[in-house]
Amino acid sequence: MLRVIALRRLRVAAGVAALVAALPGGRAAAANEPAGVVAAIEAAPAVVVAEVRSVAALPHTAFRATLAVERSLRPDSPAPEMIEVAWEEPAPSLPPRLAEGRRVLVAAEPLPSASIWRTRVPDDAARARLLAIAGRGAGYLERPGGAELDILEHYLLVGEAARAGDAGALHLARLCAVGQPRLALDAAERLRAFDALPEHLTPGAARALVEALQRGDVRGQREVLLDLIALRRPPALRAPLEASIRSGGGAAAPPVLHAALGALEGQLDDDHALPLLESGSAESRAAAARHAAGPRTRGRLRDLVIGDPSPSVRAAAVTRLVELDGMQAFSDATLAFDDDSAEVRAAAARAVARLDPAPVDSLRRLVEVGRVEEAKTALVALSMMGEEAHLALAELAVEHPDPAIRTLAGIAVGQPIGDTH
Amino acid sequence: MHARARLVVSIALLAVPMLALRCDPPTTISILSPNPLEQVSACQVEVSFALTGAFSTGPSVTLNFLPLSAPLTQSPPGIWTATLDADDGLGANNILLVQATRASDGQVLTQGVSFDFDPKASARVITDPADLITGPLGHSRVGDYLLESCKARFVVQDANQRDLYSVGQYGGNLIDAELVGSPGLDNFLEIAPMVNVETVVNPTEAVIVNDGSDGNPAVVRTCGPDDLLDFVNPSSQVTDAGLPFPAVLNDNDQTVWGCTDFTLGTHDTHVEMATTLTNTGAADIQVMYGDWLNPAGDLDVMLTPNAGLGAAVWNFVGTMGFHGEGESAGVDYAYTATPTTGTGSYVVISGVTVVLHNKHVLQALLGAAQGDTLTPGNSLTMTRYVGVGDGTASSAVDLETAVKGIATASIDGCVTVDGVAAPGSKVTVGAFTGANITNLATHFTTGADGCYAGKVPLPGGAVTLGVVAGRHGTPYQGGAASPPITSLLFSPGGSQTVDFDLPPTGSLSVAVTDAGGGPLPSRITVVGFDPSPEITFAGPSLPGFGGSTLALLNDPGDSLPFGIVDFVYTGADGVAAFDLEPGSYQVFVSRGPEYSTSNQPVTITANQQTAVSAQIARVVDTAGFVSSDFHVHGIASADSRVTHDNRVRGYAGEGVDNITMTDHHSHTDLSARIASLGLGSWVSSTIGEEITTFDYGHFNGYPFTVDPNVPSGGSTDWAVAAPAGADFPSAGAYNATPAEIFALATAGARSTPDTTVQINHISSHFSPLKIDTTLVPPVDGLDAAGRLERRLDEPVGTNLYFHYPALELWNGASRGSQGEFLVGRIGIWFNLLNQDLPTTFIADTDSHRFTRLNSSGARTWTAAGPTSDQAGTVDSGEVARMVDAGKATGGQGVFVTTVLRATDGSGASADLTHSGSTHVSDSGGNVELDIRIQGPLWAEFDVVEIYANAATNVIDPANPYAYGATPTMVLDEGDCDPATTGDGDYDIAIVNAAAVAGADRLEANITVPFSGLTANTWFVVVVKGTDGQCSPMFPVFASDLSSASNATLADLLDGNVGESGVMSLGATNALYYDASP
Repeated sequence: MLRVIALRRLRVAAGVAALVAALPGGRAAAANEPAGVVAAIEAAPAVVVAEVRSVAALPHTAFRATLAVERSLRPDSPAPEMIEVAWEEPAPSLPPRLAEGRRVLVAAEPLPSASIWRTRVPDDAARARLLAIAGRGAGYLERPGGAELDILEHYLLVGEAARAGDAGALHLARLCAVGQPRLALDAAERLRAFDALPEHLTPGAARALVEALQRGDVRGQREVLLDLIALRRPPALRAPLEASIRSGGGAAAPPVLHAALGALEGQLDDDHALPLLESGSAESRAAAARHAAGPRTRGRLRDLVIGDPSPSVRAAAVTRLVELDGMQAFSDATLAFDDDSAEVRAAAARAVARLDPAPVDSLRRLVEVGRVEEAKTALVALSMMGEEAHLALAELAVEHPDPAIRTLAGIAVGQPIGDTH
Repeated sequence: MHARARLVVSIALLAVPMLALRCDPPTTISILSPNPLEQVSACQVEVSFALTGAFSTGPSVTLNFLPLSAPLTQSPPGIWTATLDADDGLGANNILLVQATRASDGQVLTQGVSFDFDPKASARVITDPADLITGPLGHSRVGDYLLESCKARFVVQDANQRDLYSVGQYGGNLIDAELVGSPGLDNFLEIAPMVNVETVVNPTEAVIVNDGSDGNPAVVRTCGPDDLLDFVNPSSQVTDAGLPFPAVLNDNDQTVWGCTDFTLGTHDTHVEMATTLTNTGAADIQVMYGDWLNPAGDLDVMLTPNAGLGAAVWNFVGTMGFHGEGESAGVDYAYTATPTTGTGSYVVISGVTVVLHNKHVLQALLGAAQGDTLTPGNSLTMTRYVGVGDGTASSAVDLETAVKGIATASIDGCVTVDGVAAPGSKVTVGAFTGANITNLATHFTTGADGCYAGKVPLPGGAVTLGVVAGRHGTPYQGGAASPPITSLLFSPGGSQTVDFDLPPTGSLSVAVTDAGGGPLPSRITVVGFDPSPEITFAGPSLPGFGGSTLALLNDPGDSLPFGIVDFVYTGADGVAAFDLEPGSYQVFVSRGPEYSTSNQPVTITANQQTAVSAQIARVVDTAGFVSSDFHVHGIASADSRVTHDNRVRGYAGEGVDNITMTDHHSHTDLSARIASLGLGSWVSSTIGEEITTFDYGHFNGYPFTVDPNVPSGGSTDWAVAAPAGADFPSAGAYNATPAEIFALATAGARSTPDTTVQINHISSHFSPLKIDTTLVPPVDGLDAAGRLERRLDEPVGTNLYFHYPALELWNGASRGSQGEFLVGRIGIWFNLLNQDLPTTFIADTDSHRFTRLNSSGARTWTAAGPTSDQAGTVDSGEVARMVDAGKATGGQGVFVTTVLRATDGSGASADLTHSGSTHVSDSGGNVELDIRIQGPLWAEFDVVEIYANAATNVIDPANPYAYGATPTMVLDEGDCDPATTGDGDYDIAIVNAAAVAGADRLEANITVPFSGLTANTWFVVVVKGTDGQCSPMFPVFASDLSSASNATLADLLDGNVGESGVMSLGATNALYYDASP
């Protein structure tokens, strides 16, 4: 048995030596280096699928693990039978990210030459065998699925130039659709940063994005995707979106699809939006309100501001109302100033503040004569505005009869807080 | 063969035939250092070579084929040396060539060497005290972590170092910084990573991540949980105003672990601070992140964008530059951050700056901004940069443009005064409208050679900007009233050179002697109008709020009072000399209210020094008393920049016998500075501390001792230490109550047997705790929410009121501070006296600044024994005991004492003296109150108010905890004029005190009978100079003079009756008639 272990160690050492020899020179990772899993995999010289054989703690919140390599995702990189990787956890109470017995994908790079690793692994030979999980520890996936491994393997194969074009957009969109949550969210964020997305989003990639929009298991991904749609407006998305809405039963289709269409078009016409407003889904009503454009939908925004039971719908409605009608909607917007929901009050304040400086006098009047809650929301709105608003706040901070309003107005213009004596 | 080795060999081959064929004496060039192929890992390379024999020219030295930029020195003869660093053209691989022409045949000899230059930054634990960074705020200690590059040194404090001291409550943060070769200048207090405004990371672990030996940047990491930054609590102010404070920001114990990597590259003058916040819990958390920042030292401030000189009360986050002035000239600090997810901004809270990187801080405080969501197990990283420079604000601009990749142009030039280099001059570059620059792009302080150089940021590309220059005490260019603008187009990558020659200036020297002809520490005040005034403009905030005024050339935060051109305190020799622009002025010599003044007109001429002699004398008899300022801040306070030397000179010059240094959370001992300045006969000091809660009062303890082992000197931990990660009310950690604070202060490790405590500026205690002093006993009215908001755990019904022995009723030097005393505070004191709670009234200055002459404000004289009533013999313990005993009188301008005499023949009396009693009784209930009022001629008074068990009244219905009072009796002299007698209730006499011109005092002695007293009765006397009747005390007390009616020097000198200014005011402590002895 001892001989077997010794032989295995020899094989590990030989394999790691070959792998490390193929890697570029070690360096300390920059503190603010991108830490996304896709970026780590993309940049790492070695990407392997392996089983975690053992995990051991090292000083100062670090760990090392021995991995039995199943295969390499980089065809140009040698794949030793065993490798050892190390990483730091950002907090001592967090469990090690690699667990014994688990199948993982690991992107590896040379161990940083920082002196702390000499403290953690004093033996030079042992340290020489160690690799680091790339991307400051971000370059790993637990229990990688076949589909995501295939996509990643192809993504690495296509080369850097293609990754900036159609192929890159397609692979990232597919990762959004089928990747495990951490990978899917990171892929969505990569896509959001993809400047040329409208030119490179192929029909296949667009279908994958529509699929991704409907996932419910990736926290935060939906918001990122809606954001990227509003930001990039890729035309290829329209057809699969409309098809999915049709096949989903029109107004009964998942609300996120309506929201996505609204984000893509910048608006939803009455034919589209009115049925949504009748929906029992607050998310659907909010999508309709947020992107209302047709006269009949617009006509209902005021009612939504004061009457919809959902704060998210009221917030969306007041935002859109002011967006469409500007100062003409000011008095309707102030209906939300004393809403029970802080979300709605904040949305109303933000919406009105975007009209800066037109509403300054009206807001000031509200602070002076309005009800208490109205006055406070008006103060918040003024605090988000420019020079004229600040002048008004400065005067209110001195002149308003209510000391509480004076204090809040003072804080809003930066009056020093606390006793400085 | 290695390329460099080949080169060395070929050079050698070239040199050998040139050397070998000659006869004696040998003529050679020998390079002594560095050695061929040497790898130099130090930050500097010592070059040394020898020339033997006769040479007709040379040596000529090149480094990498360019002329050597570093100076060569020859010592001893024939041996040449130079010291090179990275700025001298050193690369990784270098070739040094030395050439000289042999005299005998004109042959050029060459010797060369190739060497590597591979210096390294380093990180290490400080074990050698010689590694410590020193200076006014040098707080590093053995065991802390030193990061050192070839150009700068930074200290990260060791972890687990709780020390309640401004933003430096916890260890593991950056505390000191200096440039290599510029020791002793540290003016940097601390920066602490902030999470959700009211909390910071509390590092419990520090480790060297990279010691730098691998050639990569050196890195120190500190990590820990979040904990409250106890001294700030803005939520209480917002909730008191009725707006729900965002729960995420309010005492929010989150599942956060924070680690900061402090990274320093080999040639860096800045540290990169990358703080990673990790959610260690199982639920989402909301985070707003940034820093608590407090450079704190004697530093001018420039903040961008919307920049000017001076601390705007809020701004967006661009770069922050803090450059040393005065004694701190030669160092600056810079802070900037890389862009984050939101609109970062900062705001000033309790005198320090909170920077929020991902949100608009004001909207966050008002609940209009949400934090970023951090999901379980995930992290985010914020990256900031803190730099240290050689004393110019432009270092901060250079740092920001470098780390953010902002396009720049270069600018350089020199400032001269009448052709002579002018170090310390100011040069400002900025956007302008008409003749006014109102938004600074960068700002320079010229170096020892009078020159400046740096970058001009061009975020929007090419732009035309204005450039101006100025220098303290020197006319603007062309003699104009504002600096003329040089308008130039700055283009990315371009450069401009702008030189200035300012007109010649003059100077004034003054020698001051006392009545005996000996030198007298004094204040020299130049009255008039500055021909070249500082140019100010409104910053991002607006008029009506402190700190919103920005300036063009110098930080206006500590500006001169109106009508004062300049001032200076003499040293112990009574002599001062300083630059003063040509013009006509009136020079006043003063030494506080116990002395006469001398004044005379002067005309200053360019290129000439005008000499003035002055003699002043003590005119007020304060025998048996010593004067103290019990509330004084200096450079150790987060919100003060006054150096220790300026504090000592200032108080010696104002004639205050005892400076009680009461820095926020810090124990400061001035005794060594007093001795060093030779002022030990003129001023003493006491170590105190202003125990500074955020929202239930400031408690002023003295005397204390100093703990040399902690930066604060041993502050009182009123917030009460808790285990790391558990310093939250929700975890059972609460602040000390007022009663507990008194116990901590009087029985702590740094207390003395005599330590006493006064409540400072009492409205900040009685109002927030809603203490009704008309109730017997006084009771607080704080509800449960208000208590929790202040992190106090006593349940409603447990009285938070605690009777402190002394109250600071009057703090300051202005009309406003006098008004606070008389209108809203005096009644609180009387309410306590009315229910037999003896309490001592304290008058002092709460002085944070220097140039505004705050230290010449209110003061308190306490009774002293016959051997301790001189400035040099003050007994701090006795002073505290006299405060406790109520044997004290306070004033600004006048010195008032009282005696309450029995008339029953017993001869008994009460008075405020050291040996006397403050209580007296009379068998018939008849007493006489003797009032003695003294003041110098320049402190006119007329009204005497006597309060005897006086009634009090609420002044402002919005603040029912503040009280005024109604005098029991008012005596009016009539017209403030001692020359007119019989025109009022009493007369004032002029008493000559010394054989010196003007050495007279105003004096009134009044006796008032009170008869038929049947109840215990207290007596307090207040003496005033009535506005519109008496002259204000300008310029000795220089605040608040009206500018509208004083347009000329003659206007300033016409007595200024009815033109605002500071009027004389004095008040005694209580004497007590005991009805039942």
